[in-house]
Amino acid sequence: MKAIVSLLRKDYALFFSDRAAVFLTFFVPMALIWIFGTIFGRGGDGGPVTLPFGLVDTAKTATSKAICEALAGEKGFKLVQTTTDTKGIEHPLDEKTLRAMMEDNKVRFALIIYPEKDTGKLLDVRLKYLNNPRNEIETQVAEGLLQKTLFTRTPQLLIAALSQQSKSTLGPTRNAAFTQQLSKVVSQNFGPSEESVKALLDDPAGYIEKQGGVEKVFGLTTEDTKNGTGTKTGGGTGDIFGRLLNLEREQVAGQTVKNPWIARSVGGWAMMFLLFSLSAAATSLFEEKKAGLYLRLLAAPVTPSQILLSKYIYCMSLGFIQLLTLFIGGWLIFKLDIWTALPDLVVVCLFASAASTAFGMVLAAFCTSQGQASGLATLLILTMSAVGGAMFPTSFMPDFIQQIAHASIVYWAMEGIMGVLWAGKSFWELWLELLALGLFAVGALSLANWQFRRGSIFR
Amino acid sequence: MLGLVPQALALYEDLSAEKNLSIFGSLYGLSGKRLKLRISALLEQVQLVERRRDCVKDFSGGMKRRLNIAAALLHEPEILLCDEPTVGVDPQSRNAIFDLLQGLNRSGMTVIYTTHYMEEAERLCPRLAIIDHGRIIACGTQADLLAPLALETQVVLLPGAHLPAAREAMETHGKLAQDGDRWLFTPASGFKLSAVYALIESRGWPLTAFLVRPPSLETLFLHLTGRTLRE
Repeated sequence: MKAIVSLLRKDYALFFSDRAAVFLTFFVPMALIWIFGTIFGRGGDGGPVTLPFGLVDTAKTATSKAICEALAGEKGFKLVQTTTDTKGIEHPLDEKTLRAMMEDNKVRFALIIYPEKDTGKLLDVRLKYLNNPRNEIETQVAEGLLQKTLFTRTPQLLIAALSQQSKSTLGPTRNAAFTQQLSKVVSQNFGPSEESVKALLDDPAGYIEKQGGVEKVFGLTTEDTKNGTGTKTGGGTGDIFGRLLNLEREQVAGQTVKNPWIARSVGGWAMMFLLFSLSAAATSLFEEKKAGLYLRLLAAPVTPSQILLSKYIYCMSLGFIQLLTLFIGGWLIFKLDIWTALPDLVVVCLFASAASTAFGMVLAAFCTSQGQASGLATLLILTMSAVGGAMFPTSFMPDFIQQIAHASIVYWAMEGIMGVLWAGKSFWELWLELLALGLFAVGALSLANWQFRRGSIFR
Repeated sequence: MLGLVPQALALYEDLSAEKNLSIFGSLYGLSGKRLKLRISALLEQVQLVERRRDCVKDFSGGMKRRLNIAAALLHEPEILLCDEPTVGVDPQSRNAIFDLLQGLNRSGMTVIYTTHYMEEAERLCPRLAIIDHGRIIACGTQADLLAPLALETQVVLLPGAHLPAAREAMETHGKLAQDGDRWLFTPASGFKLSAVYALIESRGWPLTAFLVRPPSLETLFLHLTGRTLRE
């Protein structure tokens, strides 16, 4: 027992002797809890996600206004209905500008409301839902919210349209008699009181609001509201509404991608593991120092900068090969199409590896031991991956986190990878992403070089 | 040009002996046939030819030390700086290293050898420098350095029944200093060592209880740097 106590004391003494490691042991989990809580829990307020959602109303009818109002009332959407020109003047969003914004990936979901030219249709609008489903979670949320909003409002619009049609066809007096008679028939055959049916037919919007929503009035289930947007089929009430609403769907990007969700998934995980492996490779500088190898290398005609540069090139080439291997794995296992735009993918992978390696070198430069570097790497890599959108769409994150995301290598690498694999862009078109990664690489490498010269690794 | 044998085993342990030498040789601009010949010659010299393709991590401490020296000789330096190259090696390997370094020295290479073991310096170095707190406090041949201490031959009084009487008898003839359970007797100027033998013989003390120690580098070192422990 005495021996065990002595050995325990030894282990604790060793652990507490590295103060930085102790700090990281307790600080890293706490920091990760806070960061992930802020990212995924929206700062603990549990508030809804706010997806940018483009909306263009070209119909300008009562129905289209009702749909716009319904979408504006949906807290999950941050409606984009205007655009600002170079002079800072705000203009209403038109279809052309909206499509340009979607091409630039500024908005990934949008609805265009056209006037319905077919007079035989009950509703006077035609809807077109534009989407760029580059992220599965985001797409499902966006579609769920849109369906909920539309089908919540559809019965109300439908009844209002029917009421309006009967008024114009029958005239006010005959319409009142018709409404009275219809209310009686519905009451006798379906259960609700005659007064409630009449109130619904007279003022659908007011009645539904008073009753606490369309679900309560029509007894819709969640499943009903999920079913059908015109292209999907289902047997619920929602499907009926789906057929009544003339809703077209248009995918604006990634139409040719065979396995769309894999593109993001492989890209995200590949980037995260790339950062982990490159940090580990860069921190091997400590092992060489411990082995006394720098003394020997520096005694030869070799400069510290040459040692660092060779380590950088080694890690970068390793990362580049690893990244490509992971994409080839994605092709082999999930049939991810990497061959169509292979040269562009190679360029993006090269820049992503360059930036990730520079990040590893900075870690190695500013830490004094491999333990410290590993702890800090875990914190930073998980944070960068979460913030940068490797795990979760950035659009679901609070605005300030979305701003911070721009400082993450993962964000730019993911934008580049998705740009190639999803949007089919060439590397020339991804100049901004490549420039950002290039600046990260140059900046971080310069910083690491400066710190290495100041630090003790070569002493 | 300088060759460095660092105190640490500055080798890539997961690579073979040959690969290590190849890497370090290429840093000095050696390549192709010249590099191969040089590696073969050095492996021969440090007696590692048969283990040339084995990983360094599988080597004994002595083998690693020899390879550590070989790596510093690839570019045939004019001056070889060895920083305690025998730390932690077995006597056979130490001797092999000594032979190697002496051979290099005989072939015209200047070897600068740093050590804390005075017997190593005595064996290897015709010219010595004693450094204390980063400063050279004595420099010269062994004879030059020991000359001022020629009279300071020490007699070590080993523990035993004779010790109290021996201390009493000798303290009038010189300086006595305790060193653990032993006593060191440094004769006063003019005292003849034969008097010590006569005293031992006349008192019937066992001869094995006394050691006569001529001035050594260790004596010189302690004389110059003192006995205070260094940080």
